[in-house]
Amino acid sequence: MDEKTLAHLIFEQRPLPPQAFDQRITRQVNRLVREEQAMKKKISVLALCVILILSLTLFGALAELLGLNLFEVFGQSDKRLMELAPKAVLTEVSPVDLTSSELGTVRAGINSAYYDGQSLLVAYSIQNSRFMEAFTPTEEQLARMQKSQNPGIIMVQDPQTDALILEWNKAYQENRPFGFALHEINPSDHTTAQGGIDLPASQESITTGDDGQIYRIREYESPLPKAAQDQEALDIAIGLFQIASYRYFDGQDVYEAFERKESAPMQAKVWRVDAAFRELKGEGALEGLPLSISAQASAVSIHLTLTSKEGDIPILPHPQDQWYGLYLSDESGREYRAEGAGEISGPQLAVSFEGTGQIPNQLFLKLIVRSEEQDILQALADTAPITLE
Amino acid sequence: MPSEERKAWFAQTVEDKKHTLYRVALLMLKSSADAQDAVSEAVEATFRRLDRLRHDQALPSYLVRSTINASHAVLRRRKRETATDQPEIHLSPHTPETPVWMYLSGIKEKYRLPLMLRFSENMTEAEIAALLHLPRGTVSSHISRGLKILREEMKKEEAGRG
Repeated sequence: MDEKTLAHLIFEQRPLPPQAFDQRITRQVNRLVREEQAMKKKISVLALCVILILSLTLFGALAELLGLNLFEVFGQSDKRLMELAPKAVLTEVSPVDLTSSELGTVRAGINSAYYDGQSLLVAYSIQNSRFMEAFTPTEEQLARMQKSQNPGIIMVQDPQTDALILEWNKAYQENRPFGFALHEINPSDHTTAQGGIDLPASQESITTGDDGQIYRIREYESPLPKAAQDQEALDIAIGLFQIASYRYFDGQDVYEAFERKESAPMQAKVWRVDAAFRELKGEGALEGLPLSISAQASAVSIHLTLTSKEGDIPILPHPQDQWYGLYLSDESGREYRAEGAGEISGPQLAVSFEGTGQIPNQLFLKLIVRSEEQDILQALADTAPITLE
Repeated sequence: MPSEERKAWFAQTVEDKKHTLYRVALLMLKSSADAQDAVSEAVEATFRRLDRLRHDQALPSYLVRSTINASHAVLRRRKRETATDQPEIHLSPHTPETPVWMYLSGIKEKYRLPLMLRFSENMTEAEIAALLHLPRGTVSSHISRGLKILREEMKKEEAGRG
């Protein structure tokens, strides 16, 4: 082969990047340009803040929603969230102000959120969301209340703030009439995205900040519903409810009443981040059944699919006594926690694992059929790992 | 803060050059995943320094240079971590039977990059010289020498198979 042909072949055989690369870079450039615009907007909002400090002394609430990244707050105890924090910054924060005669002004807002096309995490706060007061119903009010079948004693969560609950429990034990009203702003369990897509949550963590405010981070089932996957942005909304609970003990019976009113939802546009995904593959066997295994790994989650090369994955004969155990770790020895039991569909078994905030280069899967009586440590020691790379 | 015009130019240049950047990183790192990460780092770093760039025309070269730097950083990290990356190269759909790029990725970097930039990316020797901070004569001789080495490597491999 002459050098001219060789030079031509270098051009002809140019490697092309995977399609996902093009999308990733386009998203990254879009984000960079938007980020700059958002900084401009933030400065003007901060300028507005200064005016408000001087006139309304509302700095605490505003600065919190604008400046504090709740992923970092939760990241103190969850390294994964700390890793995601820089990518969870929202370009715009639109808190909702609700007013009620009992609570005054309540500020609620989505503070930060992470969306990579497959997974979603949303952090939010509702400030001054709870207020209790002593309550003695009028005869007319008592007539409208229902006699309660619930236990009279109420669990005290925080003796510092639940003084009225302590007082209630004392009165109940002494057969002394007492009542209280609890006014709250609570988030809906449902989150929706554009077009009314319902995004099912998998878990929610709650913490109290140094300022006494309650912060929450909600994680969603991953992968998200198909309609919410791989969007350029998700327009999410979490509903809010104003709830008033009345409880009265007349010395003999407990009476209850509830009022619930829907308020404007917390909303945010969550742009998809240019997060990387890594595809890993391996070959293995389950009880002699050859399998090909693929994993899509991101910082947030790992979706593992095991595909049988010879027919369907067998449904275990006694699922209550036996189940598939999948133990996943990576090249750094980090172990991954499975999210749910996974799903078997014909020749495929799909399981999702919670990510660690970093993308693994290699995964090691130990796959065993487990039973209650089994010594799991011994079983793991006896099982050779399948390498995915 | 970069002007709107400069940001638009940046977006357009990245769009035009992203495959070149990918191939530069791939040739250095021999791993598609690492190459993608390196390009991403380079794009981020370049944008952060966009204000310091004197001429818009320098942006394509600056992006390639940043990608080379980001790839070197990955190589240094690999040395520290003694990682064992598997070569993973995506060839274009019309790849002939002889994957020249597999051989190309095996020769020394000082030949590899000029060869790739000259024949895959159609850059002139003067552009490559400016980009790699090398005299033009050196670039010319690296390209010529690189082609010879590549041909010899391929011959050796064919002889080994035959």
